[in-house]
Amino acid sequence: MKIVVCVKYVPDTNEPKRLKSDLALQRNGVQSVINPMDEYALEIALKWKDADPALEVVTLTMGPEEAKGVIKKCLAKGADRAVLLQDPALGGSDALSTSRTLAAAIAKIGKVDAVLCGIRSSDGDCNVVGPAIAELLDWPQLTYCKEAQLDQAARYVQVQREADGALEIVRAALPVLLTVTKCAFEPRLATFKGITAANKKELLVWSLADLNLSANQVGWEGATVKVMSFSEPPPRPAGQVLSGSPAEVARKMVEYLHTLKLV
Amino acid sequence: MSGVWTVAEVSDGGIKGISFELLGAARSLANNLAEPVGTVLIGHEVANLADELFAHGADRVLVAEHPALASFAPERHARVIGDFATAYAPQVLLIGHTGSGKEIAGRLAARLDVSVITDCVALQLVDAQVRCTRPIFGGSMLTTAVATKGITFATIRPKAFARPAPAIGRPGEVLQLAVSAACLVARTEVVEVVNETSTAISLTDAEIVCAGGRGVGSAEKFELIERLAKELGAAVGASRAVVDAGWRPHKEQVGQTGKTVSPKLYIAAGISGAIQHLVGMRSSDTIVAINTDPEAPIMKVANLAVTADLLEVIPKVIEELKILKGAAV
Ligand SMILES: Cc1cc2nc3c(=O)[nH]c(=O)nc-3n(C[C@H](O)[C@H](O)[C@H](O)COP(=O)(O)OP(=O)(O)OC[C@H]3O[C@@H](n4cnc5c(N)ncnc54)[C@H](O)[C@@H]3O)c2cc1C
Repeated sequence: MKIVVCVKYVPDTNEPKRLKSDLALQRNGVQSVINPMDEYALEIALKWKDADPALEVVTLTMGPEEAKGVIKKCLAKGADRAVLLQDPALGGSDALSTSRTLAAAIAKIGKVDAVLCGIRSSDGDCNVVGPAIAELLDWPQLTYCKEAQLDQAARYVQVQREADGALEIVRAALPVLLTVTKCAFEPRLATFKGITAANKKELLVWSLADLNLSANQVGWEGATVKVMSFSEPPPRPAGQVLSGSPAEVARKMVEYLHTLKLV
Repeated sequence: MSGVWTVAEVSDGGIKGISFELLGAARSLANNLAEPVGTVLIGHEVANLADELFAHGADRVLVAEHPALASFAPERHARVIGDFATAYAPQVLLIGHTGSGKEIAGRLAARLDVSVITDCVALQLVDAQVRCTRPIFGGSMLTTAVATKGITFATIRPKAFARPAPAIGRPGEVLQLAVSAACLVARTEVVEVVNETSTAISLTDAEIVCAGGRGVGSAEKFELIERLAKELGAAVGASRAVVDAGWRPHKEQVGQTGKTVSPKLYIAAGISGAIQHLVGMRSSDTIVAINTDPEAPIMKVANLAVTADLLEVIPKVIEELKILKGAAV
């Protein structure tokens, strides 16, 4: 059985954000990490693999050369192989053309039984790619998963998902796409042995020519959304400071809220 | 292409607040475009809710009813909305950037063959183009984007647009959308719904969020945050530190790996304000921080920075609120 985990390479939240003159993200010199939610998606796949080492876990990334560092970490944690989609023609993709590119790569990887994605990325934060891939592949989706069990014999996945206000247990037959939110468990760290093993694992780099897509379906050309400008949010007004005895502070705080008609 | 359209959200037989906010966003665009506002209303026996949508600014309500649509199912809803778009060719389509909206946005983008501009906080009509502004990097920057081919499809951040004042009795036209068999796919099966928390206010819908962090001290002491929340009619939020410690469930977590909220009032008690927390709440209208450390990062973003021990201050705040309420009646 074959599982694909989509792994995005994102700038670290702690780093200051910079933009290049062409409005693309300035990535040089910015510390990059695995998108935090994708780490949980990978962890679920690796837990499945713990239970059945014959299960093949493939990571899929669309990104620049520097993404290889992040991909190696995934291999060191236990993924079997990795695919990196890299082509100047992919630059400027919007959420849909990104999904289209990833879906085409999943089709090319072939015989995939499940795809796992983080629910959203920490940079673009679109929440779109997972469900869009599912639609493009004509698969069902299970979203906001916190835990997932794979039944290989019966060919279905059962998940615990965080629905609005309730925890739901839902299942779907394979093939299926899962979007994963923060789980109750922490993602594993790579072991020294894993890091050594990662160097021998396959990291395929595919260009647009490897995918069944034409240039006008991807990148700037395929994008139907154009970013016009970036701006800084208006600064928050300088705040008021309150201190004193608890009773006094409490009275002033409630007064403040009352003046703003918040209470 | 014509018309500015929204998709209403329905739950427990009523219309959810976001649906009215969408109408608020749609109405001003539509006025400027001289186009009507339409709303797609999906569910089972929901046609009676149309009047409320008219009152809040819809000119037309397109009803898609079927027993199988009684509860939200992303694939089915995306297909119904896709059918609507084929039939009506909307110029602008707005849905909520909510739990369910996010589940269908991607599927719908793929069906409509146009990308979606997500989490919009402002819409502006310039040269017949709808400019959509959205926060990125957890609100540390804003970006403005336009749709270049076909329909402008956007998801709207809850609480970013005001709900229009209702005009009771405002007329409108009810239209029907036939639900095709192809829309009724069922490829997922709900096995069980556990821990239904219907009485608690949902974090993302709440006007006031009362959040606690490690500074609260223990799971037991969180009762204080709950009491304050109850007094304020607020939802309870939490930092990751307290979720990781097992004091609170993850569904209450605010931040990068939790929920993004923008309530009218966010109270952060015993939360330091790490960047990963700030990205989930800094677009709140008013932020009140209670912290013993005046230098904590949360104090820098707060409109009101209260330097105090939360365990001492919050009981007094609850007392004050009770007095205030007593005075009001
Ligand atoms: C990839 C990643 C993702 C993350 N995602 C999130 C996320 O989604 N949400 C999130 O919240 N965090 C997230 N974090 C964690 C984040 O970095 C912080 O560790 C976390 O927010 C800290 O929680 P805290 O403020 O409750 O605890 P602390 O940082 O320990 O702060 C406790 C605060 O309480 C104050 N205090 C103590 N006692 C009292 C008292 N009696 N009265 C008043 N104040 C008191 C202290 O002065 C201090 O400021 C993430 C981290 C990483 C690396």
